Amino acid sequence: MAQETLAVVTGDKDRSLQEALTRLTSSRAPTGPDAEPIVTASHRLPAKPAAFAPYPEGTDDRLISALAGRGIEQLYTHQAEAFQHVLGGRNVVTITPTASGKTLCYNAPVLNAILQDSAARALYLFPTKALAQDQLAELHALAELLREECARERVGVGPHAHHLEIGVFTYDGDTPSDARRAIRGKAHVVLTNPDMLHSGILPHHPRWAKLFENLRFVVIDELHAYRGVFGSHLGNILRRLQRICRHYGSDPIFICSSATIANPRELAEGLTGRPFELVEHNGAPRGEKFFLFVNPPVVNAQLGIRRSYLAEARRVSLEFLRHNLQLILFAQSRLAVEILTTYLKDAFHGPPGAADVIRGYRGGYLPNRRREIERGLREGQVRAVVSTNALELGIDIGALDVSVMAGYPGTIAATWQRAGRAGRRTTRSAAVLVASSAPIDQFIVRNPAYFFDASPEHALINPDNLHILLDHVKCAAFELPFGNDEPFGVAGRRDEVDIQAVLSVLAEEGFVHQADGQWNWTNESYPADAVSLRSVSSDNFVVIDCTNGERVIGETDFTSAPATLHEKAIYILEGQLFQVERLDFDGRKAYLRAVDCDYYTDAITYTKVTILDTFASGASSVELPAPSDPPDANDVGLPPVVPAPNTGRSHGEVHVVSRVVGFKKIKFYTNENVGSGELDLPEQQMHTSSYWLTIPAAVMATLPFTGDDRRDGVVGLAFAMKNIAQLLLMCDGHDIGLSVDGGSLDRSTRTGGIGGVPDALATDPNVFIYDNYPGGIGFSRPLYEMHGLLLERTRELVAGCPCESGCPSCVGPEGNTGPHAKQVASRILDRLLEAEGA
Amino acid sequence: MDLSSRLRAIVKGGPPKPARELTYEPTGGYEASMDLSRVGAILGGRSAETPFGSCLIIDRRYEADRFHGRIRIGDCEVTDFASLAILDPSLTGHTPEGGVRRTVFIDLETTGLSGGAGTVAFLVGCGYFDLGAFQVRQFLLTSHAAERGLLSAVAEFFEDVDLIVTYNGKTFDLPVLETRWLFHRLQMPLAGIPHFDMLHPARRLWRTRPGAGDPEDAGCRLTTLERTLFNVARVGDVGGCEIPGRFFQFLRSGDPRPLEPVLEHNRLDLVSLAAVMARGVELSRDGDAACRDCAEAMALGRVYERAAVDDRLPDRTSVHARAEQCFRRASQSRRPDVKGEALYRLALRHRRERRFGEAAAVWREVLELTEPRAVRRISGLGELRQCASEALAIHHEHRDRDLTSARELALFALQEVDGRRADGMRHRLARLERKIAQKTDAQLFSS
Repeated sequence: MAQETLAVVTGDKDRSLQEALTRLTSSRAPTGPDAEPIVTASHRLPAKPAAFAPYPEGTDDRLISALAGRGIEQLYTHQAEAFQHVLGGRNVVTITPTASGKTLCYNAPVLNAILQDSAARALYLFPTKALAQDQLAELHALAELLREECARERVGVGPHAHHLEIGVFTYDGDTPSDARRAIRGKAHVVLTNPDMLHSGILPHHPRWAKLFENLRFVVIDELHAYRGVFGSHLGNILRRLQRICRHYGSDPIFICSSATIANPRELAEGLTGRPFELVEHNGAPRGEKFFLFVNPPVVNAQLGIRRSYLAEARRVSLEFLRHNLQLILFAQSRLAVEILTTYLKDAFHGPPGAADVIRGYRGGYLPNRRREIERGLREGQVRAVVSTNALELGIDIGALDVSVMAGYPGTIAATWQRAGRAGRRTTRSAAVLVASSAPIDQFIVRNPAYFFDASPEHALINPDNLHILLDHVKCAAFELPFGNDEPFGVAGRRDEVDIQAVLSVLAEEGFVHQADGQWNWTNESYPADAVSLRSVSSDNFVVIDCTNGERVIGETDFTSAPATLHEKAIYILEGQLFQVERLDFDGRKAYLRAVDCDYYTDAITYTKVTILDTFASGASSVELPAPSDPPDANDVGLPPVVPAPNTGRSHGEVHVVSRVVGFKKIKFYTNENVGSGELDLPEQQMHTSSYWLTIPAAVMATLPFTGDDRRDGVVGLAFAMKNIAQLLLMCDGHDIGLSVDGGSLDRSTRTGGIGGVPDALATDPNVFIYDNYPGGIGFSRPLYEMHGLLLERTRELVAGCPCESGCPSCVGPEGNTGPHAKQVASRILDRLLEAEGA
Repeated sequence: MDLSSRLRAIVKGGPPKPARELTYEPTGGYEASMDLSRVGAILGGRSAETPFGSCLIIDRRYEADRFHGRIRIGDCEVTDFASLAILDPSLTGHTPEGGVRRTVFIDLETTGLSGGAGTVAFLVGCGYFDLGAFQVRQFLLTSHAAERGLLSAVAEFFEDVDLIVTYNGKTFDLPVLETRWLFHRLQMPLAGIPHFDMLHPARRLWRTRPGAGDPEDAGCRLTTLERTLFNVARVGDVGGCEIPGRFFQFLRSGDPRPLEPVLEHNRLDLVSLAAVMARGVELSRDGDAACRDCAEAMALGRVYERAAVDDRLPDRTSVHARAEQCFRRASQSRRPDVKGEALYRLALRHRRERRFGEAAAVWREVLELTEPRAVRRISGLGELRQCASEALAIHHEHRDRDLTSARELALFALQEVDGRRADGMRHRLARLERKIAQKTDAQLFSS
């Protein structure tokens, strides 16, 4: 393709945007008039004016004038509301879409309190170091303005005439050790991350006495990031934090900000153990925004193969670029970022000698390179940036015209966040989601209402996961001895897990010792070092590249190591391929060598799930005609409902045994199977929690298909259900595991295909969707409660898929699941839902 | 499964732990019946009452005429604080007029090495000289609850102390103690007292190969130094990694006997610290004459040289002179690395003092030191030769104005040097050729 040169940005951007959108929506699939539309939804979000509110009573005058110096004359309603709650001593969580002025929701009350009492301290938590750094500049600027205000007042005869230097510091792994002592003494506001709080601050609390004695506020930004394992860890870290605050006699207020999720208040309360006020109505203005869903056209209807979504994302982006619009293009992986950057650069070049107008952005770039790109975006020289989710969180890049997403970001919340990267407060903007062929993507673009109307996902945590809890009880005992009747959660609340029992077991192993009415830490280790906040157990495999001497290039958690680091496995890191030469299972090390090959490997895992304990079952009663009744799919005249055990839905504790038994070699691009191998690896076992669907024998019996077809159907159903479960639970693919009893399913995640399949089904087969972490992290119960919705959505996915007999976007590719899988799965779903609706 | 069995399965089923010698078998979980007077009797100590509870104090006395290896206890007492300040110039002026009244040596035994709120100093060992004898007082924690009492007893003990001596106390012992006081929300009473950490001078004086990798720093462990310097051999000494376990065992069982070797280990560390410091001060006071060998003289010379540039120190001229004495002695060494470095430092000193002729002579000695091939095998010496040949070339070109010799040396140096130095040398050579040519032309014309 010939290269084009971008014209200088001039003229009417609104009109350019309109033109580009018109061209996109009029494009049609090339295969004829009855083909699916490429643009499956075009949604207009009307402009919204700003809603302002006065500063709450009790706002310091100096704060008001300092903010005026930053161009802020009034507060938006949500800022004022949050401020008011904090002034009233209430914990508050505010829903803050991108560019809605969320930082003021916490900076205003915190700085106000420091102005009135210079001893007051605040602790800010950000999920990453980069975000803390980004906030530092803004706080510094405000602190400087406040210093000037105070100096001015001192000249006059102000009521608060005293000198005030507000210390704002980041404290993280990069903080030089000689600066740390000064920060501990001087900082009014400490900006840090959960990892540093966990291993660098709480265990050293005596040195932070000044902070903890005067801690008035804990700010948790990007609250929605703390879900699953990370959130379960943070919940325990905050228990430890509050324990230490009690020791020092402080009782901080929590101020949280969150992207739009279904349960911000519940999440905040779960993480902190405290009651919260919710501020959900946003007063920030918003320009008109168009939201398009683009589904790449089907190129092979039989196999359900669509045009590459990356190529489609490129086409969409070029349309906007040609209309002189500035855009951000989100890709799902680092590799995809590099590919798309190359695509766009190939199509455009800037004026000769000028800086690049198309830039990539992802983790792994050096900080000053990132800063340069961010500046280029704000100032307009950079016309398009291709990024991973690294730019999804609050880094300041100004507001762009268009946000294009290559692939569904995985959650409604993340999609809105990415869409919010485009759009100034007054001008028009657009967001375009280009679906990949993954089932979730296909479900979303074919069911726009699900995205636009339904509530976003729930963020789930389980701080009482015994594995996680045990680790943090150790850390807590290291920090302060436990009293004989002390709870671990918030004072006055009963702990879910009896902490005294936990301490007794730790005493048996010598970690603590009980004497004089307390439990003391009696171990020479530093327990925080043994905990990794991003996984359940810190028992990791180290990945060592031996191509040129030995060099550690990565880590893999214990559960996924056998499937990704078995001998002869291809390990991919930033586009570079390595082959595993040796796996030292006991030493937890894998030795790799760089290779050049045209395939990757996909492990075949056998998984067996055994039910240990059923917590609840069958409450959503599914009653079916007795097996003797004539099989009639349309029979809805059902007898009265009698709840029966082991039908329908259940959740409980299970034992999962899995073993990697072999692998397949799969060629890049064509996905051809080009070889395979057998493996002999140790079994992995865990206790975890699971949701399961029991398909009653009666339903199975009514299916007019052979045994093999029925099996295929159940496997296909399970495949589709898992994808919908992932959608409903707002979790990553590997957070949950899938199994059909009698055998394994697992799951070649990369191809979307299915590995081992049970030879024969039980008469009333179970489909297990289990928490893929020892001890469980709280997915099973919500899934149990969403059982009906899960079936409904699964049926929508399968029924709405245009493929004939199964494809990677619904029940799995036909080659893997058999010719009748889709039909059987649909039948089963129909029967189950009929019963549900009865 | 009930909660406890599930917890047990998790606690026990962790990752395979590195194999580790177990020094005790945890006894059954019976409650310790801690009888302070009985514990005191077994360990040879007494219980001391404080307003915040009691702690156990163990006193031992090492008489002046007793020997620690080959050093007499009475000779370990340091009174020459001017010489001490050469080892650590930051002490200058911080020791009171008329000398230090009371120096206390501190060594802690702790429940871990990581620091942080959960690392407790369960034994605070303090040593001091009393009428020539070395007196050790150890404060032993008998339960976590008694820590406040222990700290209060230690604070009282330190009331009239004006110098603290430790081995690695700047990074470990004092921060750990400070954390203990902070834990009880008290200011650390030891904070203002001048502190001499012997580890750093010891490393400068006795580290086997200066600057070279000895990651374990094994050559400078106190137990290594007491053996190499004073021929002390400990019998049945308890290893450092066993110590926390013995304390935990004592807490659980109430049986203080496992602590006896820990107390002894701590006392020996204190005596050795006093002896090592005395040896350091002896060296800094007596200079090269006190040195055991040329290598030690070399190290001492470096210590002097480092102190001499510290403007807190009075009378730096004499320190300079003593450094030179040490280097002269070291330059007699038969070890080429020691000799080479001594010559190098001497040459630099001469040049700094504008004694260019003497400097040139020393540089020449460096070049004559050994055959080049042998030299390359000793790391660092190749570098020395490069310095020497370069310095001599400069000397002959600019000071001596003997262009022919300068050219010869530059040619010679070119074989020795590499990298940027070689480029510089080629420039020099070209310039010399030019100068020689001009001179020859000038001579031709003038004749």
